[in-house]
Amino acid sequence: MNAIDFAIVAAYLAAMIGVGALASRRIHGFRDYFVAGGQMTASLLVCTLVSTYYGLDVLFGGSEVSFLEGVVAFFGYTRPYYVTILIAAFVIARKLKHYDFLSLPDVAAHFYGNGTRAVVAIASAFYALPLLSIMGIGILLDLVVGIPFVWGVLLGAAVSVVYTIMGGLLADALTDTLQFVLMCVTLGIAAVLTLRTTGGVDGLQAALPASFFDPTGTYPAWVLLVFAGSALSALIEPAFYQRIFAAVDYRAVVVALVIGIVLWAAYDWVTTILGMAAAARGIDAEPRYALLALVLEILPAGLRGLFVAGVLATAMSTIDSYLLIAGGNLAYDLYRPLFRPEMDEQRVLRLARWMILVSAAASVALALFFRSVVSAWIFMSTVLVAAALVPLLAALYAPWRPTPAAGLASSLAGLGVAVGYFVLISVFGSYDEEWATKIWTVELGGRSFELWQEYALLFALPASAAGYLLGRLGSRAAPEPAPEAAAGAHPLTPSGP
Amino acid sequence: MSAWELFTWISIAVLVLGSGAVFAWFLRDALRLLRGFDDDDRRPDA
Repeated sequence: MNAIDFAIVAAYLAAMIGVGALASRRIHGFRDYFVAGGQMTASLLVCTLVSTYYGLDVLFGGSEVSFLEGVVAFFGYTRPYYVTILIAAFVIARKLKHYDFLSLPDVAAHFYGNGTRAVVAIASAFYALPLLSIMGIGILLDLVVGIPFVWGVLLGAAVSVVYTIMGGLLADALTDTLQFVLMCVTLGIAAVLTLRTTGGVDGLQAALPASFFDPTGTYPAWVLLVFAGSALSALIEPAFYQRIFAAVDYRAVVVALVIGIVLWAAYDWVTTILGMAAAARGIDAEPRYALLALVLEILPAGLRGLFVAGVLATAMSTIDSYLLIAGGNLAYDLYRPLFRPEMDEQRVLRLARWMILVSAAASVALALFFRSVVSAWIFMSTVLVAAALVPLLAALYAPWRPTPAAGLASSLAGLGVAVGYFVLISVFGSYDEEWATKIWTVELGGRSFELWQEYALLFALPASAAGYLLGRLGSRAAPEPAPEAAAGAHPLTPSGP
Repeated sequence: MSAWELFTWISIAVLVLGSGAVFAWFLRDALRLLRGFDDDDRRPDA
């Protein structure tokens, strides 16, 4: 990178902090901070949803799969998400917008009480830790600028934390709009320049094995099932919920999600093609960084800086949003109801800002643990799906009344089995270089079964459903919610003048 | 031109032009959004 490239990146980072400072002047309480006062329009929702949900895990994870396997990255890995996002838009969002919730654990608390709320808050906060994007920034700055990995991680996390702590969701959403344009346009430009050197997609077809254009690739069917199952996380995605609750109305949510799906699909396909282009050009890099290595090789000076700013934007738009969610979960959904129910809005706001710092520190600490971007993403999705999906869907759609024991048993069983399975595979499994994941081969009745790290959901989701049924059998129906609880689930004590 | 090729160029166009169009739409809404926060500030119970 030359001086122009560095200037572009520096200008981008300064602009993010400036927006955070501007937004912070409009924050007067936790509601302003966490759901932007419920003022988000459809256009702002599109920008913030698209850029938040797509971080480096998608950019690097999607291109990692396509670099190794081809178009299955799009058809098997990302496409199931569009279906679940549509269900979230047309089925779940419509129902939830009737309530005055602030967060996903708020929903659990309303139907099942504080026990389930605590479990869902822990799962949601864990899911929200943006360790992959933080790790990605460290690697990016190391590869491109030569900043040591640890310092790159700290720098990327620090800038995101500063403007998120200052301005909350409003700063997050406003910076997301800039980051949204930057990440989409730079990826588009990179794709055009790359395809010019490969002879287009037809050139890729000539250079790559035919299996690269097989929509199911060479993955075992169980893995494709797990890929599709991880898409269920979109039904309980905390960033979606936060934005649904922050939207001006339900129509804005639907319009934003439908437009978002079109943009996500375009982004996914372009990422897939770039991963395949890296394979066709014989890029010598770890699969997850093949796209980055390819684009930096092809782009000229100036555009390279713009692309690096775009990748930083991709990472930071995810880091800020999820740190906000994790901090909010820990302060508002976990600490306040369990230990200080009388806390007023200003104190919750102050605590949430501290918890954002704690979440950032935890993310940095965990960033080195996983070897595969896809494995880490699937495990984190599994934890949230296992703890929250069954109780949430049952509360909203089951014909019977929710009971606290059913919610708690379901979320605890799901979370326990997901974590237990992961620990078992980590202890007894061995790392498979070909599939870049841990696999435990079990001999049973003369046959051998391969248990992949990614299969946790196949055990945890049934455990959550079984826990729900057992909890329900073992408890009486809960009384009708109190009128004030039905109207809104966050009785924060107002403070200030 | 194959279907893969066509789909790819349509995706690139959607990505670049679509994001630009959404950003222009956002700029139109931005003033209203910030004004909404100011109105909240002026509410007697704020």
